[in-house]
Amino acid sequence: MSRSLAFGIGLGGLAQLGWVFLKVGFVFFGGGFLLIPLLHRELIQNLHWMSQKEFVDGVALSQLTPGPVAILATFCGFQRGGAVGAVLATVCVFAPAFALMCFLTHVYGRVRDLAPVRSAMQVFPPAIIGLLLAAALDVGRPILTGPVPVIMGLVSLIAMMRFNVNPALLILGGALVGLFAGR
Amino acid sequence: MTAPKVEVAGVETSGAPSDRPPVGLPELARVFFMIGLSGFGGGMAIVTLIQQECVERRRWLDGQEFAHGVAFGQFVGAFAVNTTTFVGYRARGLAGAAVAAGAFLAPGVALIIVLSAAYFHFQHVPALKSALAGIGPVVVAVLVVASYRMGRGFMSGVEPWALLVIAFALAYALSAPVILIVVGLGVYGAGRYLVLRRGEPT
Repeated sequence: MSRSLAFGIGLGGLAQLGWVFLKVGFVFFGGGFLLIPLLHRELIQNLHWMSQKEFVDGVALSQLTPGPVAILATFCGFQRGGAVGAVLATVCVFAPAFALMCFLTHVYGRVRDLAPVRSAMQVFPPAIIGLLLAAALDVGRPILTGPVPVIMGLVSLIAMMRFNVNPALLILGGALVGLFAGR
Repeated sequence: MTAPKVEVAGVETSGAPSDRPPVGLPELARVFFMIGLSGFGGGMAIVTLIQQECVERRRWLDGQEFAHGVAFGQFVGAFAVNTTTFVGYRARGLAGAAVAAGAFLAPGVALIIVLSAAYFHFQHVPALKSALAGIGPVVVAVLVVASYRMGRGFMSGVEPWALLVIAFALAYALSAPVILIVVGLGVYGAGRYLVLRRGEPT
């Protein structure tokens, strides 16, 4: 269990880990799901810290646990630097938003007009959809390789869209199907 | 994901309202720990939970004030954490914000650490490997559904569709760094506001 030893990557490694997640935290606009394309690009395609497979499993874990989707950062931090890395990644990814939020709350009441910020922020949701779809396609290509995974994906899609089934239940269901199919 | 229309102009209040009893830090920690523990589903589902606990049950702040906090929280990061920070800050300043956000994230972070430890330890056990292979397609579907739900209410007119396609093309076909795309969007959004404002009669 060398991974659970935080200093497996050393102090320099931890500093680099903190910096990567802080950088991501600074451009973390418009809701938790943006973190998926951001971390996917940085950790898998740029830094090669984790595999596509591990990333997909991390997204699944973040859906199974309470708290925001952004807690995916905790999983990614753990993968790199154990429990200390996990806490460090979480603190760093949320720190910029926390500071800005405290500032906004502090000046709350003196801020007369949010219209400029709201107007500027309007451009984010559509672009985030594009980024999220790009990430979905990237991780989906090696997964959706035969009829069985494609059917499983479509069934999950319909279950969520038409019948509002909880994604956590579908993830557990998928695990069961995988378990029996893998025998 | 749609930003609620909140009129902030004309709000005069600043600092904790004096007609309400002060909220203790231990109570903030306890309430947000419980919210963090039961807050499945992310984002707006959790914001609704915070509203029930802090506005309706405990009356730490009124509905309008809370709506302002939610509106502030749309600008950066995760909505749920931001709303938590807002409520904590309004109750007890910086210490309140830190305690509330920490308590809110603690259960999820602790659980993820335990699950991650198990995951990286048993990842290569054949049974777990095949179980994990089964969740892949579900995760892809979760991402597609998340993008669809985000788009509801936003995707009217040419501009949102153009932004979607450009962001997708930059990230997927050209493999542009996502961080730079987001920074570029911020610059575009600010410039767009300045141009639109110039066009308006004053």
